[in-house]
Amino acid sequence: MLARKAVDALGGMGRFVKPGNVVVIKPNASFMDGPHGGTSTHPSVVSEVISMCRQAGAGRVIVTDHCLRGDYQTCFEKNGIGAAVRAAGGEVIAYGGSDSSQGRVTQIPGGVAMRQASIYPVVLDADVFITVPKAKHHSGAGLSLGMKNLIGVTANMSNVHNNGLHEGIADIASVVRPDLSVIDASIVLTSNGPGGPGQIKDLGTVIASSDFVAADSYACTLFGMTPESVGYVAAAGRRGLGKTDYNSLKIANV
Amino acid sequence: MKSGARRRRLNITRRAVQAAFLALFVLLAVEAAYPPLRLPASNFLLRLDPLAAVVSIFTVHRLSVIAQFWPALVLLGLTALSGRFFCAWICPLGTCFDAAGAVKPKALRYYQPRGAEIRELRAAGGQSGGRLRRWPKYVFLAVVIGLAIGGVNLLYIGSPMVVANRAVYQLLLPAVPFLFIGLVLVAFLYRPRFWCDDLCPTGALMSLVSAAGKRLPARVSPLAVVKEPAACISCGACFKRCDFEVAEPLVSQRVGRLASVDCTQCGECVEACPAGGALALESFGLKLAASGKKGARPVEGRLRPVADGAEGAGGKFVIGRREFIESAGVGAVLLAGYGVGLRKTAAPVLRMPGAQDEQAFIARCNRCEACARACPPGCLKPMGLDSGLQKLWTPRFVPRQAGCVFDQCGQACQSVCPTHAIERVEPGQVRIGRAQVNKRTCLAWRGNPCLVCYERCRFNAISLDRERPVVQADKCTGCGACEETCPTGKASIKVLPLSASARNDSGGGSRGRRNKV
Repeated sequence: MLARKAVDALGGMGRFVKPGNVVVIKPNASFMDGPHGGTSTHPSVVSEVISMCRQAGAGRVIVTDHCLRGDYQTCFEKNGIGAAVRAAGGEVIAYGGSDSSQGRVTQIPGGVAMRQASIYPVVLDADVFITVPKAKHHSGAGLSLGMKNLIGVTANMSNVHNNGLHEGIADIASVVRPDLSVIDASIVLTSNGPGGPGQIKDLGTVIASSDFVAADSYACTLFGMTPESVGYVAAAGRRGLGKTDYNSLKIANV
Repeated sequence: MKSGARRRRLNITRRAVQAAFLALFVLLAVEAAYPPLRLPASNFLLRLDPLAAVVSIFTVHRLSVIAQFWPALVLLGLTALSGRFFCAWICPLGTCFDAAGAVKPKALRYYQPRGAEIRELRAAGGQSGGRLRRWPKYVFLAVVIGLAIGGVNLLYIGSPMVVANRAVYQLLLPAVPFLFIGLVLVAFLYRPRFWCDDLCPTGALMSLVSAAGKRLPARVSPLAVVKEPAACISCGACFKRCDFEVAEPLVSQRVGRLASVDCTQCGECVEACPAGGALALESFGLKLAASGKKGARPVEGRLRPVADGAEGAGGKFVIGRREFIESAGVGAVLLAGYGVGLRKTAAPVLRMPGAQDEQAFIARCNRCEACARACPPGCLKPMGLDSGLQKLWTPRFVPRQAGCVFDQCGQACQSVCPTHAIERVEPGQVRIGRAQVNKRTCLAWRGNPCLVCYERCRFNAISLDRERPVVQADKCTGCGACEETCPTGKASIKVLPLSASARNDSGGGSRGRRNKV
């Protein structure tokens, strides 16, 4: 329900999705624990976004991720997202384990950490790309938000980590540029992220924005942090991929 | 003409049976790969080698392993009745040798005995009861068994099934199956069945077993060459055709089943024989094929039958059975001791789950590579010569190649292993090795954000010390997901064999040094 309200406040999904469009949704689906672990996007948020896209007339709605621990089928079943996708009328095209052969090498114009990255074609070929992350603690990156979630569209993660994680995340974001960011900050993991188990907090919030940097920036404040303290958010702001100064945008609390 | 066609039919039949078994063998070897349809008995041809059964008794130290080798036991039973028919009709390696022999150009044709030699052989009586012809294979057999008692497995060069299975695996990789190619080359350039007749230890075992059933009559034998000496014209055509150079169809004066321990019942002698009614291939007394071509003339010389009971001094390359058994016994004892010594020096290597006892593993593994073929992520790779012949081609777990997914694949490697080298282990009990972080090269320990290993670990065995990965020894299964995906050029987290990592953990020396740098 929250996701629908938030997107409606932006003017409804029809603003982003035109009839016949291929929509690709990228949740956090790479860990196996269900909605209460705070590591994966809540299945209900994923299914709400899918049905909004369907109602807006989307042709195909594809849900993708690169699952970290074993094969993606098992992963999508265990965290409940697979069932939610089926029920809402979407399809799963995901990747698992260490298979890095499925990506398409893509140039990153103006890349700081990387000149090119191997990105899944399904994401590159989408008409509309929506990042639907779980907001959570991340021991490596500080927080895992809409942009951190984008590491899961790359086939070769080593590249990102080897060349400086924060700038690398901003590099990827600059290529795939989500059209919409819907951040699930309902039940969040506040320690020992990204995989948990850690402390769980129910913030009962869903953030939606057409500016993925602003959405991440706002989410930082929910954890008592500033956008400047989370490296990749700050980097994206510096490069003008979006606004870290979310107050300059119109905020609607619903 | 009519009978000629019938005789060719025997040859065609045998080629067809060989081709069918070779095709089945290759199919099962390819098939072992995950995930295509998994036949429950996909390794039954690998368990067809009776020598593998004998060796396993010594290396597994359990008589019950014999049950797993039921195909070999059935084969041994048939061997007692029909000699080494396996070699001419079933053996995948033998089929390849025959194929090499079939395409051999005339210039490379192996020497064939002439009339004078055949006469000499006749006079000498050929092979005789108490002698072993082509004895090097028995020596090889004794070496294989002797070393097996000592815990060293030589099947990787001795068993035709293993050599052939590994060849299929290597060709699919693709890699060069040197041993297989070498043996086929020998068949092509020299005698097609040189390996089988002179060296094959599995063949030697079958020769010994067939000696046990030597006196059984043709009517109880599923496949037997039968002679009628009265019809024999002693031309020597049978001897010239025989790939195993068995003289018995030429020299035998007994009516009935020929029971040379090296005869493979291939029936080539029956086909070659021009004398009607002299030779026949029978099954339980039923004639499958008979010799004789209308209007045929003896091929070489016209030898007169010699008097009955002319078993003479024997050929040049034979030794007595008694001497052989004595020397083989002494040799086996020496080899067993040698094997024990070799085994003791085995340094630990990363292996698949259920193979952490390195000494037991190298004794049991016959290096057929079925497990490497079956491994879904392909994390097993045959070792090279880096640890010597002793571990050549044994499958090593290479985490950097791919992590082990024992918790997802149901131990695919174990399910195809024909020799008990890999034990079944409950997923919760698996301890392949233990991961160790190299703090000098780890991105996180050098102050860069990275948690790839932590994210990949399915067993929550990596905890964080101020955003830096630390391995929880009690939880680490050694699956290697971390090593596989570590972003640094050389993995900064590596799985070490248990005994090696235990040494590193307790030995303060190396650890202290590492921390200082």
